Amino acid sequence: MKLRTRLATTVLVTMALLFAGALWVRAVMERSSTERALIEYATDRMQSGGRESCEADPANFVLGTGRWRASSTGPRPWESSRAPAPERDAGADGRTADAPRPPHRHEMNFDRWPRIEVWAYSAEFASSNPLAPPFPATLRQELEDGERQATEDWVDGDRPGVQAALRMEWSDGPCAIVLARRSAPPRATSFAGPMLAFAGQCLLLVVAVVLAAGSIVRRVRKLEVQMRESAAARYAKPVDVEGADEVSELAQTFNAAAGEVRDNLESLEARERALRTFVENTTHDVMIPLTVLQGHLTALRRATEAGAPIERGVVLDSLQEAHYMASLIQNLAAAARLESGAGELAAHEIDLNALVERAVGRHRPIARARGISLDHAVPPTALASRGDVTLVEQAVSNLIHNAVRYVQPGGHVAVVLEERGPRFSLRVLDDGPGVPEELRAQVFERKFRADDARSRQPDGLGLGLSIARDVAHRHGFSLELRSPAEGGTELELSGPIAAAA
Amino acid sequence: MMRVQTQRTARDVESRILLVEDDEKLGGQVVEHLRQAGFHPTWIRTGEDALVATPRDYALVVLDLMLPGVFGLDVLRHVRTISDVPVLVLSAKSDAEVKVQALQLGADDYVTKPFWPEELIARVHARLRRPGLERAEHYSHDGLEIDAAGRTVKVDNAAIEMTKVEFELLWSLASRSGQALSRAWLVSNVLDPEREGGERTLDVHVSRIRKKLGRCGERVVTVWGVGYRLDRGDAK
Repeated sequence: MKLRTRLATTVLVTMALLFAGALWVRAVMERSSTERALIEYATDRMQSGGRESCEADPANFVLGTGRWRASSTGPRPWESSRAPAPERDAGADGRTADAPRPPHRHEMNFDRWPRIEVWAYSAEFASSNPLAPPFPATLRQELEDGERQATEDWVDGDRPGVQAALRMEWSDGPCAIVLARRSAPPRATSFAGPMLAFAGQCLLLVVAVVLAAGSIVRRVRKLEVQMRESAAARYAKPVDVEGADEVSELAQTFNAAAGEVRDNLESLEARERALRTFVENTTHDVMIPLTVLQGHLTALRRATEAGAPIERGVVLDSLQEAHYMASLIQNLAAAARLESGAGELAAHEIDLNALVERAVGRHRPIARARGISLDHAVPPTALASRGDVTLVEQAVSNLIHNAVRYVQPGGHVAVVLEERGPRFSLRVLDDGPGVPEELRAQVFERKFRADDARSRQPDGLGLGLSIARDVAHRHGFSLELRSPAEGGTELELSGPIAAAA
Repeated sequence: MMRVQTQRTARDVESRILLVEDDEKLGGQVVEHLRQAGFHPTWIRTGEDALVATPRDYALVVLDLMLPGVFGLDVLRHVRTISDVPVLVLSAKSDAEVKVQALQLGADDYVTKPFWPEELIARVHARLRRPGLERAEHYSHDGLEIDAAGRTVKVDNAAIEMTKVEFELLWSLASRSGQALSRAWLVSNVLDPEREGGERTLDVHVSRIRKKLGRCGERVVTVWGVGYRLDRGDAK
C-alpha cells in the first residue's frame, strides 16, 4: 500500500472507532441519567404522600404516569382479569388520581410518552396489590445482598426501559420496598446529521493528511532517484541530506552505507589489480627461465640421442632455472600479497627453528649441486616469534637463495639462528664476492619492475631482497646488511621473541 | 596386495610410509624417491581412501592438502583422531592460514610445492629421527663412546680423560650429533663466560678435545660461519 493510501485508511478507521466510542458513551450516560431520574422520582413520590396512601390501602396501591390503558403492546397484568385498575383507583379515591397523569388529555397519543409505574412490596418482596408484577429475581437478590437500590434493563413489549428496586428508609410495612419501572417508545434516532458531520470531518482530515504526506512522499521519491543515481555512479556521489527528520536520517544512513560499499569496492579493485599485475608479471618473468630450461632440455635430448656424454653444466643450469622459477613465483605471490595492501598480516606463532630448517632444506639441493656448503645452526631449544609464517619463511628463503646464488662453487653459506636477549637473530653469512660499497644502499630497493631485476644480472639482487625488506618492515623486524672485514656478506634479520606458548 | 602380508615386524613399520597424493606424476616421483631412500611407500590417491586407511601401520604419513573429494585437512583431522603417527603435509598454498591450520590440526611439518626430492626425503628423515634426539643419554658410533650419566669418553674402549668443560662441550655436540651448534651458543651455554673467556677459548678447548680423541678427533667438524658439529663416524 502506498504511503498516502495507508495514511487515509488509518485516519478513516480511527475516526470510525472514535465515532462508535462516542455513541457508546452517550448511551451509557443516558441510561444512567434515566436510572437516577427514576429512582429520584420514586423516592420523591413515596416520601411526599405515597407512603401514606400505600399504607392506607396497600391492596390497590400503584403510582404512575402515562396511560397504561393506551398501551398497544400487550395487556397490562390487570387488564387481563379486571377492569383497569388505575382508572378504578382514580375513580375510587382522589389520592391516587395523579397516577394516570393527564387523564383528561384524551387526544394525546400516549404511546409516544414514557410510562412510569411504581409498585409497593413488603420487606419480604410480596405485594398486597394483586395486580403488582412478581418482584424481579435479580433485583431481589441484589437487595437481599444488602444493596439499598438496584436497577436493571426491562422490556415492556416493544418499549425498552429500566426498572429500579428501592429499599425505603422505613424498613417495615407493606410499602418497605418499591419497584419503579419506566419504559419509553423506541427512539427513532436520526443518524443522518451526526453521520454527515462525521463524514465531513473525515474528509477534512484525509485531505490534511494527504497534503502533509505529500511533501514526505516527494522527498522520499527524490531520495530514491538520488540513491539510484548514486548506485549507478558506484556510490561515488552522496545523496542530499535536507532537514532534520527521519527522511534526512535515512539519507545520512544511505551515505554512510554507500561510503562503506565504496571502500569495499575500492579495496576489491586494488586486490584485483594486484592479482592482475601478479599474473602479468608471473607470466612474463616465468617465460624467461622456462625458455632457458627448454633450451637446456633440448640440448640434453640432443646429447642423449647422439650418444654424447651429458654435460654436467647443462644439468646444473637446468636445476638452477627450475629452482629460480619456483622462488620467483613464490616471491611474486608474496609481492602481490604485500602490494595489495591487505593491512592485516596473519600473526601466528612461528617456530623459527623449524622455519630455518625448512628454508635451508629448500636450497640445500641446489647448493649441493653447485658445490657450495650450506650449513645451519639453531638453538637446542626452539625459538618462536610472531607473524605470517609464509612471508617470513619466504624472506628467510630469499636471503639464503641470494647467498647460494652469488657464492662461487666451493664457497660457504651459513645460517645461524640465535637468541640475543629478548630478540632473535637470524644471520645468513657467505664468503661470496660481497656487495660493493656503492650498491649497498640500494640493495633493498624495490627494483623488480626494473629490467635489471628481471634479467638476473649477477649484481642485480632484485626482487628477493626487497621482499625480505618489506616483510621485515611489516613485521617490525630489522634487516641489516653488513660486509664483514674478512669478506663476504652478512645479512641479519632480527625481531622480538614471542613468549613461549 | 600389500595387505596380504600379515606378519609385520617393527622394522617393517619403521620404513613404511603412507603417501596420500592425487597427482599421478608427482605421486609417482615421490614414491620412486622414497623407495630409493630405502622406504616402503604405500600410495593412496583419494581422500576417501585415506579416511579408511590405518595410519598406525605406518611410520609416517605424507599428505597432500589438495585432494579431490575429501579436503586434505579433513584427512588430517581424521588421522589425528585415531593415531599420533607423524604427518608431513605437502601444500602449494602460499596462504599462511592453511599451513597454520594444518599445524594446529596436528601436522608435524610441511613442505611447500615445488620441492626437491632430496628436500622431502631430508624432512622425512628429520621427522623420523626427532623423537630419539632429546632423550639420548649415550653416543656410540664407530669406536667413539660418550656416556652422559657416567661422564665417560672412550675411543676404541680406551677411556679418555677430559676436563669438566671439555666433557660438557663434547656432550653438547654429541647429544645433537650431525647438527651444528653456533659458537655463540656454545660460549654462553657451555663455557663459563667469566672464567673461560670468549670464542678464542672455545677454539682452544675444541682443539684439545680433537687431540684427546685421537683418530676420532676429526669428527669434531668446524662448520664455516656457524660453529662446530660432531659427526657420526658411520654416516657418510
